[in-house]
Amino acid sequence: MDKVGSRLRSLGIRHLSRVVGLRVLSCWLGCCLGGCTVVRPYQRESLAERCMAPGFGDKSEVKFRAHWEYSRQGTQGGFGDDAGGGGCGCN
Amino acid sequence: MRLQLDGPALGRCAFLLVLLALSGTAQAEQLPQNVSGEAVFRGNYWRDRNTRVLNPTVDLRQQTASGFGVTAAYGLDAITSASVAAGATSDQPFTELRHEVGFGVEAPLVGKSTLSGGYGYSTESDYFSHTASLRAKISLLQDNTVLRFGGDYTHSSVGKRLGPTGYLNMGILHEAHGVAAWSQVLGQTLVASLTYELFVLSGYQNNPYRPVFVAGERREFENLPSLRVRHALGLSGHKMFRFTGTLVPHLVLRPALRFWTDSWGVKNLSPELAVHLPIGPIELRGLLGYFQQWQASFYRSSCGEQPMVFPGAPCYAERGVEFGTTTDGSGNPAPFLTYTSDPKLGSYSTVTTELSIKWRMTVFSHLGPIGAHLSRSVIELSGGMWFAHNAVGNQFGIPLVANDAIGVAGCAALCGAGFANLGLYVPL
Repeated sequence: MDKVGSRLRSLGIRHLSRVVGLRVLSCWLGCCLGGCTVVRPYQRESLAERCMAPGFGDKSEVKFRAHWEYSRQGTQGGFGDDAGGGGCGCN
Repeated sequence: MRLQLDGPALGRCAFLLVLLALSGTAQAEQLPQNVSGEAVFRGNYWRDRNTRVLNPTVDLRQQTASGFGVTAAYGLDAITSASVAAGATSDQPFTELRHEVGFGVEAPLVGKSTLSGGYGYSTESDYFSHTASLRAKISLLQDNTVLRFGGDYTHSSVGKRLGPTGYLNMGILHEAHGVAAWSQVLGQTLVASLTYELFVLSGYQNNPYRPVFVAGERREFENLPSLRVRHALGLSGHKMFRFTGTLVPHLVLRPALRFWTDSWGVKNLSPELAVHLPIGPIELRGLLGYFQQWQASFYRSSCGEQPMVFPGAPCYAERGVEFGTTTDGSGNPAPFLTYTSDPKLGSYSTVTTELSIKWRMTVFSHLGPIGAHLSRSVIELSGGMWFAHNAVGNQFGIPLVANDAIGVAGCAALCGAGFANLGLYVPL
């Protein structure tokens, strides 16, 4: 019974994550492909702001965050251009 | 003398900081991306139940007009009051240093596209790794579409300390990492990015310090599969809302979502929202993140209540969990029995909060050419809390309630850790 329950739970999670993942991905692609406007260099005043740089923040900031997330949550990557790490530092 | 900041004192400090910041100017300053080069000095601090980490880092980046660039980085992890067993119920604290250095070069290709490569080395008393990286950046549609592809290879030697000077080599870990990223400008105030990463880890992946109970016996360390394949997907967007005022000219929202899955059955989902709000020469940023993990297929906590064992901590009533096959002594195939001592492979959730202040040093702008250059520098002060529950929270969290009976050291059901950063960004 436990095995059946855990199988169902696992299937449910798998199904849910697949559905959520596909919806988020299709929304993102829809936004990108639907709005492919070319912004000229002289129109980039707002995009030149530090807080508008694509990604999850300043690189050095993300490096520290990736490091403690790896040590305390066991996750790796997800920030896009994490240089693969090197060194555990997680004892 | 010991400085104590209570709630009202902190409030007064924050008010004075804002007043000081606004006294220089009543107009918001731009915090620009220093594309041509930047030196970043940061002091990071992490504090949880069994570890305090001081992590000063220096990152240098310089680009020439012809498009060539160099980068260099150094980081130190000064881990004090550490536990070699990272979450074990008892062991001896020690202090350890980890040094990390890296450098890279970048060469222009066609237009704004570039090719870059780098090398990094990290050393500590029981873990040594070399990393080689290669990246290609392709810029299209007047820089509105940026594609990045790359790969890294990391070779790590994993050891086990045997006292202050002794050292036992436990194994080698090979890690290949591939990344593909797409950034797209969608309007004058809207940008989005999508990234995919693949990690293939092969070799020694056990933690040689954490013991685990398997079928009533105490095993000195875990027995994990030697191959792990991980996928990571990241989505983020930046939307700027402009206002007519000059003191608070805009607000930026950055929603993001990350998703991981791997061959051990671990799945993670992490949505987050960051809000950037410039007020005069300072910029406030708030971050709220949630993280949910579903456990590895071989993770068990099946021993019931045990003395000195955190609830939900890994424990195996049986001999382990079959996970693939191996060969026995006579070369015949046999089931590979896996057991882990890592609570980070279990199911749990965490919440991360952070508040940061970035302050552009416009006060130097009157001090001649050097002052004008320095006036583009930015100081950052940030701090946050990380909350977790289940075994991870019990083992890494700071006790929030002193007399809690569940946790060994008095950790409540929800446990926290704190972090803080001080940064200086200087344009080169």
